[in-house]
Amino acid sequence: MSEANPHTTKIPIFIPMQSYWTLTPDEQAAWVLEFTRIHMAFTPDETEAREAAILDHQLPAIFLPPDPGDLVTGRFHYPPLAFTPQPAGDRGGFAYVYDPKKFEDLKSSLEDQALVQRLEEAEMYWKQNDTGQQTRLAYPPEIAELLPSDNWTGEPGIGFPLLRMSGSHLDYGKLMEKGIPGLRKEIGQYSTTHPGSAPLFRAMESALTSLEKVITFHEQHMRKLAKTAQSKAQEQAASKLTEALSSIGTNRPQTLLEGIQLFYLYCLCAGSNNFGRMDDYLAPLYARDISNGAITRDQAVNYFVHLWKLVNFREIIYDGRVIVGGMGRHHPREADELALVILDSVAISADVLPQLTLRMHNGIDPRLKKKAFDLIAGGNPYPMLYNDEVNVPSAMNAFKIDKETAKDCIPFGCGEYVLYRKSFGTPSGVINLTKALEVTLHNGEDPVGPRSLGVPEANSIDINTFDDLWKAYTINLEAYIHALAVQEKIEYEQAGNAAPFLFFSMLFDSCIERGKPVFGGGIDHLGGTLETYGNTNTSDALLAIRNIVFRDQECTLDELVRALDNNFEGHARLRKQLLDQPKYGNDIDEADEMLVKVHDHVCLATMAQAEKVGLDSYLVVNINNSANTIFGKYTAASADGRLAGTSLANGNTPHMGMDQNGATALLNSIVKPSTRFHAGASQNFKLSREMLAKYRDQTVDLIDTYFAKGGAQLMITAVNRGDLEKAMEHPEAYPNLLVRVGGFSARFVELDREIQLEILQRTLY
Amino acid sequence: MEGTVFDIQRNSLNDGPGIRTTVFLKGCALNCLWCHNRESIAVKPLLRFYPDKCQNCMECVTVCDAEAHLDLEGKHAVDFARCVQNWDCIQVCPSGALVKTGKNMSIEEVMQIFLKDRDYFDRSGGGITLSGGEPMIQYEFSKSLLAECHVQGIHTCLDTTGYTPWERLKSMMACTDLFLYDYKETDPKKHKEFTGVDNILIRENLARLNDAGAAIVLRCPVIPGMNDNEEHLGEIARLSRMYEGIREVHILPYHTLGIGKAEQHGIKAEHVTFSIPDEKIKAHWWTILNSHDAKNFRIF
Ligand code: SF4
Ligand code: SF4
Repeated sequence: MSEANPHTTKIPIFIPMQSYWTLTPDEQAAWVLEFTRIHMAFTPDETEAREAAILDHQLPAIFLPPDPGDLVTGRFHYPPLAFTPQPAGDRGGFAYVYDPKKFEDLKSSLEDQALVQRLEEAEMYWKQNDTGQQTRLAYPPEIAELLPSDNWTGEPGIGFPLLRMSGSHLDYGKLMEKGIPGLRKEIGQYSTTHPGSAPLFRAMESALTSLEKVITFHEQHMRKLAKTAQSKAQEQAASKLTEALSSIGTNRPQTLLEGIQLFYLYCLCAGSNNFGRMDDYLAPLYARDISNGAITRDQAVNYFVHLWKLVNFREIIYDGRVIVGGMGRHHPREADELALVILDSVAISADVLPQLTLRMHNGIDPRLKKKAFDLIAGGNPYPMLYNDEVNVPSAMNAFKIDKETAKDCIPFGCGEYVLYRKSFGTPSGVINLTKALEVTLHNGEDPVGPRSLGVPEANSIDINTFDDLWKAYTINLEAYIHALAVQEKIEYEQAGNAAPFLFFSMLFDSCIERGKPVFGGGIDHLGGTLETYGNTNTSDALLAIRNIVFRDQECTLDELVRALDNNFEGHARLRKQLLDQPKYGNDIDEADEMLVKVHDHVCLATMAQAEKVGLDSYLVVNINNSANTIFGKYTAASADGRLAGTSLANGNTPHMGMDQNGATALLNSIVKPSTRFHAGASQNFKLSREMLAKYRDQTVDLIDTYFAKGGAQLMITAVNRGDLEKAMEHPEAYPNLLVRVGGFSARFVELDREIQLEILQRTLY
Repeated sequence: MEGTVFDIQRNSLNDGPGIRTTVFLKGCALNCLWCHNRESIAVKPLLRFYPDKCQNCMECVTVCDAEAHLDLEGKHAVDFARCVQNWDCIQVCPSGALVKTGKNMSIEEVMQIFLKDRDYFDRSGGGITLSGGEPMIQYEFSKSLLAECHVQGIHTCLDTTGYTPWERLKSMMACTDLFLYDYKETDPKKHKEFTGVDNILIRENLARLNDAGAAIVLRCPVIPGMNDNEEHLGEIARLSRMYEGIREVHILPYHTLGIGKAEQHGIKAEHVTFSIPDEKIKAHWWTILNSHDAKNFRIF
């Protein structure tokens, strides 16, 4: 191997308007080095200019050239370095994100060792300057001690931070109304009234120029594709899209196609993963197209089918929310028509995304409701049903806002509520309640992992009564809640210090008006959320302990803990007694009351943090991705009778298979925990296809009654009896069987076995 | 007052209109060849054993003085005939493999469960259904329970074989909104063969109920090769036209769901299995019923 000499190595020149993904490895390395150089070139107080320059560098470079059959377009991957609110997949990070794995891949594709060495130097820089890393370094010691790791998928623990700026739903209504020229005009106006914010406004204008380049990039490619098209239809589609792209660079959108295209490219440039109240902001364009005869309804359906292909190209299965229906829309009548189109398109694409969310209320257009049930009866996990009649008043209380604002409360991701256009509420962390109880029962030792957990104040309590146990558990839990609230605040501060998030700041209310970036005082409501897991198991376990140990004195607490440590081996009888205790989800007051006690505690303790750490709100979300399964793996047997390592219950539902009193009993139970002080809970409901086919009216009545009794949300998976089992045996025969996991949907056959089992064991109604 | 209940099903959708809670009472005077609730025939509670859940720990063998539990070289088995229903074994079984079918409940206890689903009843036009077994075996309990439902304004259905003294059935009219009346076979001799009793009383009671103005759903279990002939189906059609009280006719095709359940209660009995009718056979029934001008019928 020849000695590398950096001074003689030729660094390729990166050509603007070229996709990173079509470059040679050497050119890609040059691109990465240039990204690094730009970042270094600015001082820490030049955050606006720095982000603008980085965006200029990464746009349109991160995009892939369009595909020949595209009716709408826009695909990208993040390179080893990127500016983003949240990287793809499960990785954490935000703002300036360094991806070591992608660095490795790039380095191993290089022959020139000098380039490798330069990349390694760049890595040294990014190990310090990655914003996620800087956030970790900013924890005060007492927080760092409670949150030593963010590897929640690979280590046992009670609480873990999540580093990301997740959950943006941008104001695409404003984008549709103004287009790029209108945004420029608005920025121009405020520049004169807020001269102190000149760097921010200049940077915003630059970001819009980057967006224009992205549009031009796609336009140029589409123009070429029109020329090389294989068929007349393809040529027409490509020409139409070329025209639309050429128009939105300079005008506000005039047609549905232009609207969809502008929204989606903006959204990708922003790195935003959720798509807002789509039926409303695209409604005027759709209505105009239809009344002009410019397109047919079927063509509109087809545009959306193509849009969903693009959305599924992204690795965002936990996000991709599209909201339709509900109170507080600007164009309710037109929006209902478009919502029907969107429902049709989702039925056709039958894919994992978008996570179509239907907001229902007493005044819902009956056609929308009917179509929603048609989709569900067809085995589609969408739409998920949300009940405005409950959610609007609940949001008023939880977020402390007025009714009009609360009408814009919408879920993102796995089901966390934010206020559309007005608030941010990224989850600051995940917390495992069952682990907190487990550690409490072991005086601070974790029977599964090497670390001692909890706090001395709790772990030193001598537990002789149920009240002692409750006290120790709550002290432990509250310590982690507090740590994660502090971490949320730090995360926002770091985001604000790192960058103005220009694309966000242009489409969140008040930022431009105030001349302030989204995380630097611009946004109206800066909130946070905390994902809780194991709520049901904790409550069932506490009740079983109260009854068996303290009330009936069937065994001592030490004996119980020994049985748990041995995963009930040799303690089958005790396990049966524990299992026989009432369980949440059966409409039995004793069990449901305990759940409410656990729920109230964690929700109120979390809510109280907002003021302490300086956020506008800090709220529990009792949702679920696959964390119930992952946390379950690192949680020993629990006193509800659950075996070690198995899944925890999913969101606000009973532990799987524990609900045995029928659907009405289940629904009666799950409306008991209050919705007034959290930011979302998810309810999965597995229903047999036969039931929906044969007893459709009664099923709709069942769900309507649930909503009337205070049900906030329901996610229905309709499956055939036996389909899931058969799909486990013969996955090849069921490639398209979609199921609701928790906060996301997936192809059943692609899920891990444990998650498949968890779904299988849920009660089928 | 207490009754012996062997199951309560909430969100029950096929025992009357809307969303219902169905209470299954123990005891029945008939013994249909195709019965799918055999454990309900005896009034007393029964031991139920789920072989799938059993871990062969033999705890039950140790506690059962009646020697109903057997240790067959490490494999546990139950001799149901010896069981004296003291439930000791259920207390010790760690796996939930042993349970008791049937428990005594007071009117208040049952009402409490009914009332929990009142909102579902009201929205869907549902209510409660008494089924069994034959609810008229626990006549006093059934009557008081339905009367209490009417006090609370809850819609009631009574699922009955009609094999009960007319005076009793008549007295149920005041508290029953809809009778789900079984009609199993037209030929009295065959009826006796299939169910253990002839159908004279059943047919008389049906006529009287109709004359007295009751609302009736005629529920007809149809078993291939047994009662799916033109004579019986034609008579069903005739009844549907003749009796104004019959609002609907429900044809209930034979199914085998009850067999495993019976075995878990140690009821091997002489139960015969029949073939499950496919769509073609059901279409044939439909043609017969239709050709006899049957009114308001549905095949499930
Ligand atoms: S109920 Fe009593 S008699 Fe019957 S098997 Fe169990 S222990 Fe034996
Ligand atoms: S006690 Fe239960 S698990 Fe053990 S042998 Fe008897 S039935 Fe089986």
